[in-house]
Order: sequence, then C-alpha cells, then structure tokens
Amino acid sequence: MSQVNLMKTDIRETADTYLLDIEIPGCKKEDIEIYVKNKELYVKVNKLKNMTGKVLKRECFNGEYTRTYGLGDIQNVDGHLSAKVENGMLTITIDKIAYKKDKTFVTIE
Amino acid sequence: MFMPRIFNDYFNDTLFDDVFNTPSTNGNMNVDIQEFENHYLLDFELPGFKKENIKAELRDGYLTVSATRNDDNEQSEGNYIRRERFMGQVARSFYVGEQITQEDIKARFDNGILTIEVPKKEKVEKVEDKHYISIEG
Repeated sequence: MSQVNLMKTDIRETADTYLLDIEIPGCKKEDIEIYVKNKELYVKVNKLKNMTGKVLKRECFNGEYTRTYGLGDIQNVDGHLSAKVENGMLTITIDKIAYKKDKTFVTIE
Repeated sequence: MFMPRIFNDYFNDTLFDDVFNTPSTNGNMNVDIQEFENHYLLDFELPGFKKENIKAELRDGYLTVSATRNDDNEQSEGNYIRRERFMGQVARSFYVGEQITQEDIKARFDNGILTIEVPKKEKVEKVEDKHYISIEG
C-alpha cells in the first residue's frame, strides 16, 4: 500500500493555539512559502538539491511540493498566524482568536 | 581499487527499489548517497530529531545510523489532534569496509539532515616481509 511521506504533519492544540509541526528536512526558510486562501493554509516547499557526485542512491525529498490544510471556519487570519523553521521542522502557530466571530455594527442614519 | 557494490543496503536490494515500499514507509529514514573521487557522501533525513538522540556507529565494517524519538525526549505542549510523524527508533546500516576507522568518518547535523563523509581507502594487503640473506663469495 502506498503512503505519502512528504511533509508529515503533527497537529496539536493548546488552550490558545493550534500548532502544526511539519517535517521539511534540509529546507531553510527561503525555500518555503506559506499563504492562506479561502480558509485553507497552503505550505509550499521548493528544495533543489545539487548532487555533484555520482548518485548511488536517491531517496530524500527533492523538488517542489505543496500541502494544503483546511482551517475550518477561520474568520480573521491577519496577525494570528506565525511560523518558524528549526532543525528541519516547520512549526506554524494559529491563534484561536482567529476563529472568533466578531459582530460588525452598522450605524443607522 | 574501491569496491563496486560498497553501499548495498543491508536490508533492501538496490536493484529493485520500489516506489511503494521506500524506507520511509517502514518508518526508516531516507538517505541519499553520492560518490566522489576520494569519498562517499551520505545524507540522512532526520527532521526534528535532536543531535543527542542520533547515533552513528562503526562496527565490523558496517556504518549504522540510528535515532530515537519518543514522547519522553520530545517536549511539546498541547494535546495531539493528528499524528503522522514517526515516533520510535529508526536505524539503517551500510557496509563501508573494514579498513575504515571511526576517525576517518566526518559527520555533521544541519537543518534536520545528517551528512556523513566516508573516505575511500584502499584495502591494505598484508605483504610478507622478505628477508634476504646476502651471499658472500
């Protein structure tokens, strides 16, 4: 049975945030692009490895790959999403405040 | 000279690498191997592992890289909603030849990739000392 093993993700939840731990071995932050579109989180990784020697075995991730995560009913993304790269892991933090539905009042003339 | 099938994987047959049965589906880490004029370069994918939990051992001509990750040595707050990453121990062995010593091998860990450099060493044949006796007369 085939199994996709690119960008394996753990998702965990604290009282105030959702956190995504995504495996991106060998990638630095210049190789990554993160954006939100239509309540979906896109994580695009582009890693080109320059193999100058004679290749005897090639299994590692190489190339471009995008993975999408559904964000549910997120209301306001601005300022509530942060990301950091460390040790081949990308950690994305989503504040739960982003899901809060705010009332927008309309003034009556 | 150097041995031709030097990096045959201990467990998998390199001739029949299967797209659907790559080492990562078994939980094992991916590796890239390159051959240069004077050395071999191995890159192991070990994202999120801590350097202190990774071991590289040379024994009887076999280089074994193993790493452990479990809930004890991972400090992470919160409850897991989804878990895809492998937890446990991964290990892979490669035959490098008995003439390599651990001082020859260089390793560094960067961005979740463990890079190991193994020099090419010619097999030293033990030559019997010939003791010549000088003949006088």
